[in-house]
Amino acid sequence: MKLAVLSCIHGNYEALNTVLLDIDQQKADRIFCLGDLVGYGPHPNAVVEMIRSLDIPTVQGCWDEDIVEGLNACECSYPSLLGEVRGKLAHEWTDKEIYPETREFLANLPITMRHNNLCFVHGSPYNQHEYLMPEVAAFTALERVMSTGADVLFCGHTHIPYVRTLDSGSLNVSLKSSDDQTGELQEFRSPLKQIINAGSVGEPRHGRPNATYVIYDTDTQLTTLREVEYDYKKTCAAIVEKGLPKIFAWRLAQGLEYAERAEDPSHICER
Amino acid sequence: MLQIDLFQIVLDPASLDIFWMELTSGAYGEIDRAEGLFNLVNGQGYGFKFIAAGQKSEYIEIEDEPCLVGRPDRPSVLQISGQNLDLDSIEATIAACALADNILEYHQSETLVNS
Repeated sequence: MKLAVLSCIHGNYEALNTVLLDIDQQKADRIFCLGDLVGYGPHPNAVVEMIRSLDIPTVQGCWDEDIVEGLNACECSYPSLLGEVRGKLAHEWTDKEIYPETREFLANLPITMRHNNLCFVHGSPYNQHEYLMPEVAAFTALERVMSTGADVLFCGHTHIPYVRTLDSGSLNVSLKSSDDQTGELQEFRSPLKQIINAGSVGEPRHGRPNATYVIYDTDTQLTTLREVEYDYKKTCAAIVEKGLPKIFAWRLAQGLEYAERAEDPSHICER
Repeated sequence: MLQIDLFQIVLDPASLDIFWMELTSGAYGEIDRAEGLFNLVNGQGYGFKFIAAGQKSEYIEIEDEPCLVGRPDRPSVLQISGQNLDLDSIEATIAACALADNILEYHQSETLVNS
């Protein structure tokens, strides 16, 4: 079975529409979405309506959560003052723009989804805001996958697509408490695991404006990273027309995120 | 030439890094030349220089006493030569990079504790 997995659409309807056409041409059997339907981009309602009307199974992203719960970010969401100002501007704009039914849809999205031996999350299994960067320590990466009980963990949030294979290994854990200092060693063995990051449909960070997503073949376990050109100038024009900061349009055209994300792969999100 | 006075403005380094990249990459208009004297949160002053023909920025640390209490008195300014410069956006972005008094005081007190 061919699965298409997409993430981080961020209100970019043009990008989503083109990616869905590409998915059609790739003859994918099912589509899964890893969240961040809204935030920064000019068409949050249209994106949510498209996902909802196509009945695409979707997990809640950090932006989706923030629009429902309000901003309550860990420092990793805004590693600079400028990023914080821009993020808050985008949040305020989106908060005013979205319809009640859009907010309700976002509020009811699950945090994780399972499909056989596959697990789908936005950031990590613990938190929509946690970044599983490609360089994150192998121990952390393996622990995150093992915590789901799945063999393949699909995530987004970093906006950079990657496939990381974690060779079969083991985690050795020793727990000591004030009552029990023996700290019996427990071993957890793991067969080969994978983390597959789907990149970003609507807010890429790979230096080109093109949308990215992945196709995963469950029979061959083959992952194909797809990079799709779309009419990003239309989205840029809509950003300016709708009163979002002009710099968002410039950054989208350069293939840079509208704000920016944490660079520290060892940071554990505290939200 | 466009000139923005930044006297006693202290900038967040991560934000300045983003702003300078955007400025010299043409986000706020076509830049021929940009030079800045900036005060950063560590109390030091830094000189930034970009010439479009060379396509790379140069950075120097200004050798004087770091300002660890209050706001620095050394000159601080941004000069830009170019075409179609968006002054409003440049000023708004610099304002978003600047530390408010309470944040500056917090950083300075942390620096004193750790020194």
